[in-house]
Order: sequence, then structure tokens, then C-alpha cells
Amino acid sequence: MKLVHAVALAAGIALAQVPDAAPRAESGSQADSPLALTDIIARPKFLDLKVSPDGRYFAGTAVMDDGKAVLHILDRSTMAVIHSEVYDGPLGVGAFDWHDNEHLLITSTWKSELAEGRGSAGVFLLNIKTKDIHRVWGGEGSADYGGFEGADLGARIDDEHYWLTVGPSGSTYSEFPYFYLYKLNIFTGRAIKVLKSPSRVASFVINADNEVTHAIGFPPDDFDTTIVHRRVGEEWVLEGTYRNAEGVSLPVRWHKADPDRILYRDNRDAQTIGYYWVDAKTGKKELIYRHPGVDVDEVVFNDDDEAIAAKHQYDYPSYVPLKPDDPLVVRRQRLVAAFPDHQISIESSTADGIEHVLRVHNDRDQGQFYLWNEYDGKIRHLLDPRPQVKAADFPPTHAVTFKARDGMDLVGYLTVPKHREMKNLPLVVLPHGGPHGIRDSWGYDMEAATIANAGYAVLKINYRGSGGYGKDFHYQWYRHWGLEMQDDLEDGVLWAAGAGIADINRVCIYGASYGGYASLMGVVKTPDRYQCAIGYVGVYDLNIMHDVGDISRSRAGQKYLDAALGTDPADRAARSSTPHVDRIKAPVFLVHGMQDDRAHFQHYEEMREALKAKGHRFETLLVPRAGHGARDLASVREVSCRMIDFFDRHIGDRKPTDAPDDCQFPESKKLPYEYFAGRPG
Amino acid sequence: MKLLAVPLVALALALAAGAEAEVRFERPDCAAFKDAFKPESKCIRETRKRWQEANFAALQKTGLMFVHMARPDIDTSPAARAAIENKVEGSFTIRFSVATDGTVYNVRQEDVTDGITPLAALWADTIAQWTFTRIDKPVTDVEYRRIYLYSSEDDAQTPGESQGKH
Repeated sequence: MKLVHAVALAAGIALAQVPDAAPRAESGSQADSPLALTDIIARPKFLDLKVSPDGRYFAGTAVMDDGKAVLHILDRSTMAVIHSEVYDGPLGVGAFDWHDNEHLLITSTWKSELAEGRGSAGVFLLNIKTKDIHRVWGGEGSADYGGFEGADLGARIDDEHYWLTVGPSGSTYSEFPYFYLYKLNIFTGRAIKVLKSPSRVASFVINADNEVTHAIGFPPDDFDTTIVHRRVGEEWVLEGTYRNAEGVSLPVRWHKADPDRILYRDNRDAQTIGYYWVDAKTGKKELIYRHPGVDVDEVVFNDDDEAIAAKHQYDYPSYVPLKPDDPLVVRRQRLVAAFPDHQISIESSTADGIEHVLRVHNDRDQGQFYLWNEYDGKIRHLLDPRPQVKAADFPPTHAVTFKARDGMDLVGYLTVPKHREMKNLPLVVLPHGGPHGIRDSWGYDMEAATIANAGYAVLKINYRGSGGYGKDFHYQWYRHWGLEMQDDLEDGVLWAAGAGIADINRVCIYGASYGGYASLMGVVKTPDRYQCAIGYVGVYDLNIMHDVGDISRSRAGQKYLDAALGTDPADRAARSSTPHVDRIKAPVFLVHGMQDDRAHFQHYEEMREALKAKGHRFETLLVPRAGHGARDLASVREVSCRMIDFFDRHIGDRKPTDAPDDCQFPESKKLPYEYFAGRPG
Repeated sequence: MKLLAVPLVALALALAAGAEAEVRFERPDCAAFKDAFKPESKCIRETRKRWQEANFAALQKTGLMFVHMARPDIDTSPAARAAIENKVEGSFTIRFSVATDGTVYNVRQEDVTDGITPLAALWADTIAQWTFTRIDKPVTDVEYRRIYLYSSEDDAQTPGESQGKH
């Protein structure tokens, strides 16, 4: 569980769609869809899979149709589910891990249609032999906050104890809270408070002797500043206060063997994040790896803690061997040879390090689970979490690069329909949410794929302001919403059309959250560029964004909003879509969760009224129990069906004047839908 | 070089347990690691890794594929647990054969060094439980070797594998 309150608006909430397969197949682009859309949006049978230390069992979480996660235990010899942890009400499984051969530690979360997870509901210990489960942390124990607390289970200390970081549950605090570090006995539930963080919402670095050595946190009211403290005896000594836009230097962990070396991630002297070993005595830095154009995601180390490879993703995921002859690098190359064009991650391993659960995935496959036994050298298929979807039929995604109008290099991802020539396709531009610090990556994307499956090319662009491409790319574009950030999306359209991929006369723009902002700004700023726009849980008025919603209720949020949106209400209005609906020519579809507190429901209400007053042609769909995006499968299906239907009528094979599909099905929630034909002329 | 200076009583016990003989253990030569950080620990890690990879190679040469790879349960053998807790150093070799139905037979202990007998026995019992996929012809004399080493520099050990604790 993350206790830090992210400021980012949600990045592309799992839209997915699904016009009713049978009736929809007879009309519009759906006739060519190789996959039934209901199959695409179906929840995977397993999200993850972890082998027990002795290799006898697997444990994995699955998401049910209502969005709640359950934990299944499988007997390795039969692969049969021998036990499931299903909780009453909104309680769902969050994270889990094997403690030993008999016990699993489970962090539960509150799940609902409003939220993916509302803080930690407790830490549980499950005995898989007796099936006994007991709560070892309940969130009420310490009374540090006089109410419910969230807890983040950290590293193991010994056979009975783990570190536990405790903070208040929820996000209603006007200032970031301090966190407390506990030692938790997982068998007795006894938690001993060790210390209070010196900065807010802090994380901790702990050395091999189980001593807390560093804390990394924030000031009470600013998440664009990071504070690092060093523990000296019983005192905290300030090591550095960093404006994130200017670069940070953050301790990550201690060297496994050398007590004087500590790993840091640092971008003070460069645009992008690189990794260093730092001599704790002399402060001398030794660069491990940095890429000039993109942050390093991870450095891979061997048993001797030598850096053997680095991972980054400028366009496609890259693995850069730093010690090509290291046995682990050679081992990985063997795996890559076994699964060409796939990404391979080791999800878990047995205690003897001989057997590993692999997740093998790419843009067309969410991930197959395999068991790799290094002793016999064999790899066995374990589970297909989406047996109903064949990867060969799934729309592929290609990384693309192009230059913006001012010459800036941009990276995007183009998902294209399967079984169609990549030429003159109708295009949907899909800007990610956030916007700042969030980026799109290559890989399996259900949202893009479901639109592509309906016959459309889908272009996602890491427009300026996105994360990962350096601190200037991220931070210098605060207050540029609707300006260059918006132009980058149009430049992507022009690139796709210029390359012959997209039909310039059949282009729509759709996005969620900030993506919804960009969609509506797209049809305001360049009214002739797009034939339709969909705003999903979108921001349509920067003055509402500045003053209303959960971000604005914290001091840090206010500071961020001033920085990102600007302080001048007139300027904010100038970069908002609602005050400029008169410029919009394209039909618009607004979809919103009525409980949305991030992009507050007021954005929808005022945009709807403005479009109605103008007499514009538009449609609306509400999800009464949803917050910042629909979560339950039935709502997702209905929302998605409506969106595909909207694309079909405006850039697909149907006509704009065709009647909308009713998108109803047996489990339909009959979400409130309105169609405004608009005034002629 | 393995030394065969073994007390008679110990020899008799070893033979009764199915082992050929107890032998004195010699630590590996770690001179090559003298410039490494914590040279003894590094040497031990590398030695264990080398032994493990030899096991991997020996099995992979046969083409055998596991159906069930049992692990030793240290709690079933107080003597084996004591050997681990007392950091008794040593090594052993086990040879086993696999029948066409994938079951293991003819499990033999060889070159079991002083003090390691309970661990060798525990592993012999474990290997006897292994099963493989069916094969056309029996596979004989698959070699499995383990070495137990401890560093005086620190307590850092390769998790699980080398000390038989799973």
C-alpha cells in the first residue's frame, strides 16, 4: 500500500469496452474485430503468482468482477485451488507474500466502486495448513492519530518480526502526516514503536544490522520537494533538501556486504536519474549507469552486489548488460532466447533459488506464468490468466518517435488493429492522465487494445510534462496545460497522417482525467482537427480544478495547483475548455463518475450546461457509484460499449446521425445516458 | 585430495547408514580471492555456486525432467539441524538412478566427510522422493554433490541452498 498521496490525476483508467458482441458484430467496425470485447475486458484469472519457499504451493491474487481481489492457494502437484481468502464486504486482498512454508502475510485493503484501495485495512497471517487466519495489525493499535491508520509492511527483520510503516489512512489531511516505524511480531501482533519520521510521509533505509540509517520524506506542504535525513545515534541530521525540479539525491539501500557503500539514485548533475555507489565515509560517488535521455528504472545486481545490468525504457524496454559475462546476464540471455519479443520477469523463487515463477509478457499478452527449474533446466507453463484471448489476435503496439513543431523529440506508442493494413486508419489519440510525472510505456494496454480491436489506430504520446524523460521535460512544462503540451498531441496526429498510418479526416481524441482535459481542449484549440472527443472523468475548467476537489484540500495540493495550473484565474480560464465551448465543432461525449473528487463532478456539470446552452451535439454517461473512473466490470463494459459506439458513429463505418447503440446487456447497470442532438446550424 | 583416516567406529556407523566411508574434509583453496572484499565469503559463495552448477550440468546431461522435486525437511533430523547450527563443514556425493516410470532408485552416499553424515542421509532420503517424467530407458548414476562451508568474516550465506535449510 502506498501511503504517499500522489497528486497525479489517474493515468488512463482501465476503460476497456465491449459492445454487446452478437448485435454489435453486425454493424460498424466491430464486424472486423478479431476478439470479442467481453473477453478483452474480462478480469484475468491471476494477477500474480508466488511460489512457496519449499516449492510445494503457489499463491496468487485474482480480481473478481466487482473489482475486489481474492487470494488463491494452489497445490503445486495438481495446480488445484485448495484454499481461497475471500473477505466479506469491501475488504479485499492487497499485497501478500510467503513468510515461510506454512504462513502467508496478507495486507488487505478496502475496495469499492469508488476506489481501488482505500488504505490498509490490516495485516493478516494465514496458516495454509490449518487455514487459520488472524489479524496481526488492525490499524487501531497505536493511537498515533487517534483513528484508523494505514500500514505498509516492510522488510523482514527475523523469523518473527517485520518493519511496519504506519500513517493515517485516507487523504483528508491538510498537511502531510508524519509516519511511524514499528517492529511487528507477526505471530503475537505485538508492535513496538521504533521512531517517528523526521519528515512527512517518509520512507526509511535500513542497514544489514537492522538499524534505520536514512529517512526520505517531504515537507508538510510540498510534494515537489524531497528531504533526506541521516540517523546519527538517536538524532536525525539533515542530509539534503531537494527541489525535485532541480534534482535529487536519494539513498536507496546499503551494499549487501560492504558496510561503507550505499546505493543512491541521483539526477542533480544530469537531466535523468542515474544510480551511484556512494562511499558513506568519504562521500565519493561512483556512477553505475545513466542513460542520457531517460531515467534508469532499475539496476540489476548479482550476489556480490556488482551491477550487472541496467533497465530503462526510452521507447521499447531495454536491458543494458554492464557485465555481459556474468552468469546472471548469461542466464537471462538464455531466457530471452526462449521467449523472443517478450519481457520476462522473475515473480518469485523458492528458498533454494532453484525454481522461479516467470511472468512472460509483451504488448499482446498480459503475461503467461511459467515455472523455470534451473536444476533440470526446463521451463513449464503454469497458468494462462486470460485463456479466452489469443495473443496472435491481440492488437500489437509499436513505439514511435517524432518531432514536435518546435523540434522537441517525442516518444509515443501506436496500437493498431489486427488483420488490417496499417494505412489510412481512423485514429484515436489517447493522452494519458497525470499529467506531470506520468508516462506511457510499451506493453499490454487493455484500453488501447480494445479501441484498436474495434478498428482504430490508437496513438498514446508522452507529451512534454510526462515523466521519465528528464527533470526539465517533467517540470518545465508546469503552467503549460493547453499550450505546448496540447500541441504535442496534434503533432502526433500530423505525424501519423504524414506517415500514411492515419486518415487525417477521421481522428478523435479521448482521454481520462488530464486526458479528458486534453480531449476537450483539443476540440477547443483546434476545432477542425478532430471529428469527435470523449472526456472521461475529465478536467474541463482549471479554476474548478484549482478550487474544488481532493487535491485542493491539502496545502501541498494547493501549492502544486498554483505551480501546475498558474495563479491567475483569467489565465486558467483561457486554458480551460468549458469557457470556450463556442469554439467546439466536433461532437462530444462526456463520461463521469458522480462521486469523483479528483476531477470533481462539477467539471462535468458545468461543461454539460455550457454545451447544452450552446445547443451543441453531445452525449453524456454517468456512473453514479464511481469516483475517478468506473471499477466494476458491468460499468466498465457499459462505458466502453458507449465509447466504441461513439467512435463508430463519428470516425468508424457508421454515420454521425445513426442512432446510438443501447449498450445494454443482462448484467447492465443501466447507467444514465443522455443524447443531445443539438440545434441545427 | 580426500583423506581416508577415519576411526573404525565412525566407519562402521557410516557403513551402517549406507555410506561408503567418512572422509576428512578439506576446505577449498581461496588464494585466488585474496584481493576480493571479504575474500573468504566470496570464495565460499563461488565454491557453492560451482558445486551447484556442476549438479545442474549433471542432471541436464541426462535430459530428465522433474515432476516432483522434494526438499529436505531439516526438522525431521535433529542431527542434521545440529550440524547446521554447529556450522559443521564438509561435503558429500550422492548417486542415484531413475527408472523408466520416473522414480528414483539405488540412492548411494559417497565421500561423506566427518560430521556431515546426518545431512547426507537427509539428502539421500529427499532424493529418493524425487520423481521425473517417464523416460524410455533408465538413467543410472546421476551425481549430486553438496558442500557446507561457513565464513568467519560474517554470517552471510547463500540463502537456503547450500545449508540445506528450506
